[in-house]
Amino acid sequence: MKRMLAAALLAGAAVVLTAAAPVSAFAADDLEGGGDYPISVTVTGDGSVPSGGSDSGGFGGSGSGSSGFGSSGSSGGSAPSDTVDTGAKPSGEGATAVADAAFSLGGLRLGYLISPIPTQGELSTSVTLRNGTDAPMPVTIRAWLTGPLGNRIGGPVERTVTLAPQTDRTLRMRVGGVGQWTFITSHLEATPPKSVDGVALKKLTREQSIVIAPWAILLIVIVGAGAGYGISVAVRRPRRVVQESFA
Amino acid sequence: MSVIDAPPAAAAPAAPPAAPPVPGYMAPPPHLPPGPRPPRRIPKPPVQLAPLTPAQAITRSVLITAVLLVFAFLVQVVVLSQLQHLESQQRLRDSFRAQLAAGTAPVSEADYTGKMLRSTSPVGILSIPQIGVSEVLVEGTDSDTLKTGAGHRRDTPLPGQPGISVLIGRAGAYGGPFSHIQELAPGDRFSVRTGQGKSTFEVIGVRYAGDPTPAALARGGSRLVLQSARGPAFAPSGVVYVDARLVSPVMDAGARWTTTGALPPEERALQADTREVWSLVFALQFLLAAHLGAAWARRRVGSRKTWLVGAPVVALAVLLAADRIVPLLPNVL
Repeated sequence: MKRMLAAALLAGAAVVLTAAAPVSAFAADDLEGGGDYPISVTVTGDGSVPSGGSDSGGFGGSGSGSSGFGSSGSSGGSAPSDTVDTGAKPSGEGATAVADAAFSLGGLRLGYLISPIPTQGELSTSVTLRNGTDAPMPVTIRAWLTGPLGNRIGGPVERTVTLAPQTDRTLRMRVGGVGQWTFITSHLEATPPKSVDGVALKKLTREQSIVIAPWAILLIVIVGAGAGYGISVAVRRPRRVVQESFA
Repeated sequence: MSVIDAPPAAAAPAAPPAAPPVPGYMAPPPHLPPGPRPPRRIPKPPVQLAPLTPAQAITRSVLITAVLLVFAFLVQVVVLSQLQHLESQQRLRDSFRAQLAAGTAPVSEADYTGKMLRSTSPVGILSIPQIGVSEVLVEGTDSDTLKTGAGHRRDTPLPGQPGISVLIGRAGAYGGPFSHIQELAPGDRFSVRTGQGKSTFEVIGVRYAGDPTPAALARGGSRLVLQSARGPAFAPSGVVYVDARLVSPVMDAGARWTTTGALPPEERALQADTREVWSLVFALQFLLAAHLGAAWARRRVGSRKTWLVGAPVVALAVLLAADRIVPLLPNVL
């Protein structure tokens, strides 16, 4: 009975700890009123075309610079003109070598930086957008994160970036206070104009998942189990030996 | 003097007080040397379990076998498959290097003798330094073939040749060579070396099902599509495509006999392969026979000898069955 009680207490503690992160998240979300709880967005330009510098900030007020995330966002030295294409030219009207990639997306990375504070921990995600046309392209990016049950734990944030002609830009998003969520999915939605240079474009969605070890929950369970075992040993009554059955 | 009045005999030396009898302990007879001292604590009486009814015994065996199968499947997919992939890649790399040195590396769907390439034949080496991929490509894309390495779909030209080539790779098990292809950014370059030489490709973008596809190729153009699973590891939710255009000279075309219509459905991405379910049946029969043999031997020769001999046999049967379950899962898992 006592062991059952201890197990129930441990389970309750784990549930409370698990719920702590989302509770704080939604509280902050409500306070700021914009649904932009801790996601910060950084947009970097490709070296081939000046992008006017990093236009970070404005999301959650952090506006941090480089995220420390592993994505370099390199484009392999892509030049503004795709002169090395060997005949992979579309046959449509006004086709160019880059028309097969009028608007493309890639470089999806997702990483996690562990924190000694159980309710902290930082998730970093990045994506590279490419404008293959000869005209500037405004693209609206919407990002949000969901937990293991599809529950929202961050975002959504929305931002419009302008891609210079024939260049790519990398978006890095940092999410603080991820806490002990074990399974996180990062969603990203990129909405370009309906058409650019006569090329019809379409909204693209991407998602990536990551598994995070819920170290604090595991630690509490282990410590709690050990304490529960010690308590049960200390308080249980000695067993009565039935000697008749052996004699 | 009567016996009653007789004086008492000399007092014998006082014997030590006898220890209270320990229940359950029988003292040795007086003519035998003293035995071991009685234990301080009485050993627990052996637990006598009630014999299982036939239904209970069968239920227990079925449960044990099911748990063993699940455990073996996890071990096979998560651990052993990675080792198998390493071994296969080493063997394939040696073979392909020898073919390159001899000038016999395939440049079409047939080898240099004109025979059609069998599945798992090496056809090239894929190098994507951005995501740490250096993989020997094999011919064929069904589940068993993709255990050895990333596969080249038979109905498409070899990378670098005119047309759209398709490479399919696993995202989790057996090395998961394509587990990070979503990280390829537009403009990233990578290479494929075949029997015709080295071809360089530039990433166009990452694409999901339903997204706009790149424009159709003009005659003589060449493109490469990498395909794998997206979503959580070992739980694919769809197919991810990475389109790449050739940025090096186009190679000569090689003969192809397999057409898109003739390609077996098992060779397409995210497809299972049920053509060899019979091998799973045989593996399960082997497992059942090993289980029954262990049960019989336990009664005849005892538990220790049965464990010594039976455990490896049962482990082999379980792993064999787990290996045969893998083809029933998506080939890009």
